[in-house]
Amino acid sequence: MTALLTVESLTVRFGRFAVVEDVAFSVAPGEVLALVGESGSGKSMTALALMRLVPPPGVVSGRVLFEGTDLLTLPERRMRAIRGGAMAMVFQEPMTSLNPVFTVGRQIAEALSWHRGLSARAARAEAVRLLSLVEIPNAAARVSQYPHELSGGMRQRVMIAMALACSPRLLIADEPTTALDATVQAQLLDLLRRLRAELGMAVILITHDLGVVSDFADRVAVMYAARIVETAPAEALFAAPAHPYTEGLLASLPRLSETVERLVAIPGQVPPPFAMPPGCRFAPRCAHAKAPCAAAAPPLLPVGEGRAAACIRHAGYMVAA
Amino acid sequence: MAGEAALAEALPRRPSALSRALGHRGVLIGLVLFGAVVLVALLADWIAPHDPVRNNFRYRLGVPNEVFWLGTDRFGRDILSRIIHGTRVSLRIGLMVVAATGVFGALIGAVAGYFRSLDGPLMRLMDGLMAFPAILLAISLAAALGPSEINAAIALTVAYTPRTARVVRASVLVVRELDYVEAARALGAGDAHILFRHVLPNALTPLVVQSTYIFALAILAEAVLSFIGVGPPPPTPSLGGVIADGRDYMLEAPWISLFPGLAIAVTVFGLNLLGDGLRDVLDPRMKVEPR
Repeated sequence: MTALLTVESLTVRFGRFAVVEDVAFSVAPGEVLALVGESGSGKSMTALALMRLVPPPGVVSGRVLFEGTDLLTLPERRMRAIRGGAMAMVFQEPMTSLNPVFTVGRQIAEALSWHRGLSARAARAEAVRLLSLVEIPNAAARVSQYPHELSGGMRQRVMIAMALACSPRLLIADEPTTALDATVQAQLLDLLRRLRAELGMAVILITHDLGVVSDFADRVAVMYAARIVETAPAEALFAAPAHPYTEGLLASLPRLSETVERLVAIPGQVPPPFAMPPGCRFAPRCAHAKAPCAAAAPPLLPVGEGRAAACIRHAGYMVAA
Repeated sequence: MAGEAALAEALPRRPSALSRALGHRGVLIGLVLFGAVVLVALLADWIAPHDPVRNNFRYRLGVPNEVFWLGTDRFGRDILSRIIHGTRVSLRIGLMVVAATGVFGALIGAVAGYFRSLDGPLMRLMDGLMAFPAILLAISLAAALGPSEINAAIALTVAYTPRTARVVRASVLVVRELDYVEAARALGAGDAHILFRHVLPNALTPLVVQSTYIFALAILAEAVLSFIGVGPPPPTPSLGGVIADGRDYMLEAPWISLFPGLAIAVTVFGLNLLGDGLRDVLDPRMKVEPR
């Protein structure tokens, strides 16, 4: 199967500092890839780099092959046709991601008119259909409402409707449920799951919430301090994490089955870009750290069926230790 | 959806900007004062008791009396009628200046704030214009262009556009970073679309407030231009022109200059109250607490 999206040695630099470094992954058509990591690990910046929306003065290098074309070398004009067309994005903040001065219908219709060349009338009808698709009740009336008349969950549904307007083959969802409360989160994830099955689109889900990941993702890529430290099929990752950072993340999840006095946390903090430790960036916080960890960064190497990890504890590294 | 409609009725609603504005004392007084001036200007042909340009040498420098309520000037022209018609000229110039500074200021400010590479050149040009006191710049331009109503408006537009451009640029700089701008870009929107549909409409509120001040400044500045003879040429009565007519008779006939001066004061006072009030209502963060 050929991949829909292949990312190779993607790096995003701001001045001397790399906020995304040598990231590589691929997404198959219809697959859900979760990009997991703490705040500041570079996962949102990775998403922006895929869409070529990294704000200046950020510099992006590497290759982003989408259906065979390298997006990073595409002229801006053609890139604009892809954004919101074959590739769409949903953002974290539904409260502020809609323009307050236009009705939601008009904002959806805009995308329809410039990507699909629909007339104003047809675009409005299509907007109503999209709003019903994302399960907004009474869509025909909602289409002429302004963003301030809608709740956060409703607005996020509108954002999803806008993203789906041109039936994208890849949807990038950057923490789509983080700003919403728990019940609404669950509803939206159900919706995304249903839409993905119906429309057959691939999804890159960016999140720090492993609960969301286990629910929804086929495959997981864990990011730490600008690099991917582990990739694995979701089930395998939860069953047996291969990188100590993933282990720490899973251990820090509160469990309903146990009564705990304190939540487990990974000691220390993510290093800031200007103070990256040499060698393995997780080493200062790692319980298994040994001398070679600080010497050189371990590369991401296969550690089993469809899995890879960047840690010296796995076969092939022991020699050096 | 009868239930939903009923619920919407029952929920508390944030009063609209209009009703909040009308509830503000400054806005209300400003509106009444300025509204009265506008009304006078509109109805000038009907309410002026005499022809504002007709000489009457038998009543030169006439003291205010029951026929000429505010007296007459050195040609025997009725001061009240000249003020009433002068209001029309002054407001017309003010309006032209507000419209033109609004359009040019919004365009220059929007482009400077949105396209970072043009920000430096455009705003340095604006700074250059602002380095001259606005009134001096307007006087030299009006003098160079020749005395006429349009030329006065052009001169004042050049003098005041830097102010509106700065205000719009500042506000564009804020709005361009908002989430919905990035969301629009992620949907494939181009720069022109983003700037004129998403950024500019959300960045114009400060311009509304600024425009009321520009209106007041333009009326004052027009008076200055007319006073020194580079405004609309006589016998067209503009408020500044009428004041200028009384310049040589300050001691014998002070009413010639006094009453048009009062008319300007009332207009400008009303506009400033309106501007301060609108600022309070539209931009609560800038609110100046009444002492």
